[in-house]
Amino acid sequence: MPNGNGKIINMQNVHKVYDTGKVKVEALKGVNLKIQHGTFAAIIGPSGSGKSTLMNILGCLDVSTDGVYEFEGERVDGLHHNRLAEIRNEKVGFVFQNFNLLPYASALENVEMPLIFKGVHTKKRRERAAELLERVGLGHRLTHQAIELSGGEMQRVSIARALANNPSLILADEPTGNLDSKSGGEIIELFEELWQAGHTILIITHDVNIPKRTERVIRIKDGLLTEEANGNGNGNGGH
Amino acid sequence: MASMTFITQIFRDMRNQKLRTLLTIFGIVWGTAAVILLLSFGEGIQLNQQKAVRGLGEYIVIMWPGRTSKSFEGLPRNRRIRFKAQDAELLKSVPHMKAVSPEYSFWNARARVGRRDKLVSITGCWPIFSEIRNVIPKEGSRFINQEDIKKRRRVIFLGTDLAEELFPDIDPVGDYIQINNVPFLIVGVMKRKEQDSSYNGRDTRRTFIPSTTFKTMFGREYINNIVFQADAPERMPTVISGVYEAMGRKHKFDPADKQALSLWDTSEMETFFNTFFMAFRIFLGVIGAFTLIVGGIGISNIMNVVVEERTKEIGTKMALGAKKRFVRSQFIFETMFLTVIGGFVGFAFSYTVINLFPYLHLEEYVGTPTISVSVSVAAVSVLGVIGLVAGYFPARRASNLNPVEALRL
Amino acid sequence: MLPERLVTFRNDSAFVELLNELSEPAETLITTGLSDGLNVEIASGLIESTQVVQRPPKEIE
Repeated sequence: MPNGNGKIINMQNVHKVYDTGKVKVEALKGVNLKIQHGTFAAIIGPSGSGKSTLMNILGCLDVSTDGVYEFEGERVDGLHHNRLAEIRNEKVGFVFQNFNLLPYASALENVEMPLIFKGVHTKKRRERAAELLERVGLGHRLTHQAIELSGGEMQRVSIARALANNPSLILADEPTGNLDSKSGGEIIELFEELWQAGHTILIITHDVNIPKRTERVIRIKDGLLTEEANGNGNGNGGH
Repeated sequence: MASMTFITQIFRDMRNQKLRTLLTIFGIVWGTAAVILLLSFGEGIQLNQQKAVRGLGEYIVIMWPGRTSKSFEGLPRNRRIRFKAQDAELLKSVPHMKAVSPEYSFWNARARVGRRDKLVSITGCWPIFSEIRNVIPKEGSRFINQEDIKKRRRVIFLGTDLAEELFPDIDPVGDYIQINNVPFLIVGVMKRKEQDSSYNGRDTRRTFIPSTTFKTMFGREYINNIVFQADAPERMPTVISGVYEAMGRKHKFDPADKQALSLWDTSEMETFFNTFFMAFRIFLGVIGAFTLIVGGIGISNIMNVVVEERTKEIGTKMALGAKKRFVRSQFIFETMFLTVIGGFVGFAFSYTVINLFPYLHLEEYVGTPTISVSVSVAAVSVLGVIGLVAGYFPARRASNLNPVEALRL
Repeated sequence: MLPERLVTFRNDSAFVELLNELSEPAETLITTGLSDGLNVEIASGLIESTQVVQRPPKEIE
């Protein structure tokens, strides 16, 4: 098990200031957040609350301007961009609202992408991608191009892609935002299954259905977090 | 490792953007063809011209007697110098001298074959003259030899055009020709050559007989001039000053008296010629290279557009863990790939043009273009540098994208 | 008899080129007899029917 005393995420007093030269915008004003392994949490908040900024920093796509951020015990702020890329590759699995698949690549090739960046050999890569697509229920669509798939199917492909390197954290940004309610429901069910299988999942969302299902609900407003314990959860972090 | 995936993606992009790909590659094809064709033709023209320059001989000197311009050991100036065949004999021992021959000339001798009658110029010389002046016997022919000289044989060697005019349709070797009513056995005919400068007329219209025969027949004591060749082109100045020394001693003039001998040094011509063609080829190469650079700028612009279009894809790849160098190498690879395809097609096109060129029968004017090793090396290196530079800037832009901003698009 | 164009005369001696064991042309001393300018009699140094090297005309480059 990695370091961090069971904590994947440990944020202390994290600030993020966007300096456009003329004005300074403080998107995060001292965020404290701890996420244990095996957590299923929703981060909710209105637009402009700092949600996306938080997600970018959590996923090591962006770095904070102040404070301490440890990912599995490793201090992330101030790391070289190559190491950040490695963390994103091996420890974080992203699921985007717009899926962000390569449109003309097959489902299989899309899922292989993180494995390529890790340097996994072709044959192993193929096998692993096929296995993951099977797991998200797309075993019959391996060679279809992404543009030939429905929205729900595309999101399944991107979930399979997020799982490719067996990451410590799955970070989903509005995963149901571009889906009809039926497909959206199926995706939430898939997340639940993954959580039950032991994955740590963090979903940033507007979707009112999601917070009902997660064990933790973290609210963000004006760059600060508040948290309420959920019915089915045992939340222990935040404030 | 991931290069196969690169290539499949490149092919996919090429399929999706057929026209754009075609135009991009065309720029490189055109540039490559320009570099190769210009350099190849430049080389062909140079070799062709060089052959014509060397038709007179390679790095030789033609020396005529002059008049002294300085008094020497009590002798007055403006004294006329005259050469004899022994002078050529004497010059053989000048250091670094490779070959010497005296040259007797007689203009307007009457040559008669059957009923054909012609005025020709007769040259009396030594066997070595053939090598010095590139008067080369064609297959089945020979030049004057030492036996001819020794026995004063009445044998004659004919210039190409003259032989054809006097003996249309037949090989004259073994036939006789009357020179001023004296029969001469024809022992050889000159192999055709280009010759862009001359004295005493073009070699193709001259006739050559042994120096000894000439002397006897025309009763000449003095020769017209001497031709000589140094053992290496760079030794020519040494040889020339050696000639002045030796001739000065023999004919009693100051070796510093340049007027006493009149020299035509063809190595100067060749040096000028080489410099000129060096400049000419650099000029052609630069034109070609600029065309290729324009192609490279085209490919670079296209790649910038591609980066723009794929910003989101680049952001996604970065989010999935692609390092900057991966993104960079992907774009450089893609540019190089297009450049290589373009270069290859350009090469193939040039190769075809150059191989079909001889069918136009223009060798006489522009020579035979050839894709030489140096041309290929030049083209490939220019192409490689252009591909790399054209790819580098878009690739750097791509790899420096901020993943957060790239994804937001 | 040999075509005189294949014979080199130098310093009162005559030579022809023959192929040696390594199939390279090498000069051999011969003595010649009568000649009509085109063909020359070989007095010694060359056995009848030996192949004499015949070089192609030089090319100007």
